[in-house]
Amino acid sequence: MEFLDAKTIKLDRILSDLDKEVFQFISILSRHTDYVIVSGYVAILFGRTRTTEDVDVIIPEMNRTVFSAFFKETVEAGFWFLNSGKEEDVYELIASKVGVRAARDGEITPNFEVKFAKNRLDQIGLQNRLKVVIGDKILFTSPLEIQIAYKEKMLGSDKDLEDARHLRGVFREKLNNEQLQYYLENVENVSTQG
Amino acid sequence: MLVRKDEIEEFRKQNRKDRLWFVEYWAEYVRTHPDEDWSRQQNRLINAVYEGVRKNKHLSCSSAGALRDSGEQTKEDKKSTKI
Repeated sequence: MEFLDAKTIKLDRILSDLDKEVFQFISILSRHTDYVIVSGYVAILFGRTRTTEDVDVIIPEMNRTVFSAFFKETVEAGFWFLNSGKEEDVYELIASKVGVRAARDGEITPNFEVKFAKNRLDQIGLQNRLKVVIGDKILFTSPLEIQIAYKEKMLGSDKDLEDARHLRGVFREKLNNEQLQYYLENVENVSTQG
Repeated sequence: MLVRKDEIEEFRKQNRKDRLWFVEYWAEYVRTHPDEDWSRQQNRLINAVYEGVRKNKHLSCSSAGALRDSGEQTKEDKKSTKI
């Protein structure tokens, strides 16, 4: 992998079945909104040897009309929403800052948990997203420094601490240590500010 | 034979330490090897898991639909339960 600039990484990985699912879902979502992928899949994308049952995605708030177009295209492409089959129910959930989950028809996992940005940390992640270029495909993730701090300070399970350790190891010469230190010290406050 | 609490704690501590050692070892491998190399190895694990999911947990469209219809979620559900 290679940093093309401070916010762009070129990755020459071979795509896994999970990556292919992610690209299919994201190709629909990205036609309707900006987004960032956060949490476990970020560590997996950059090599962590584990898998996940869900991929967490944060998007800016969208109005009902835009959501409707996204919902319809998602369903037409062969996904279903685990929360409800009714568009109005799914919108009501996501509008109340609850994550909604979409998976392939007839399947439960992997699923994509999509949430509106609900705090300052989510907003910062969206504004400073990291572009990952894999061949002719593009994904956006939250900055690595935020991911590490959030996993170490907010989540804290063995799995999250191992994900953070992995990202620290892989990017040890590339992380912005000043930013990382800021997020380590402030992530609790920033992630509770609206 | 009873196992003492401090022995269990020591076992867990050592297990965590061993796991973190491997995480760091693998991260260094990823950092210093071509993406094609580490991702090919990683994909053997990930693809095997999803192959297993498809074989063993695949629901028919109708049963998934039934699950969906019986499991419709409200804001109140989500606040009180975690799926």
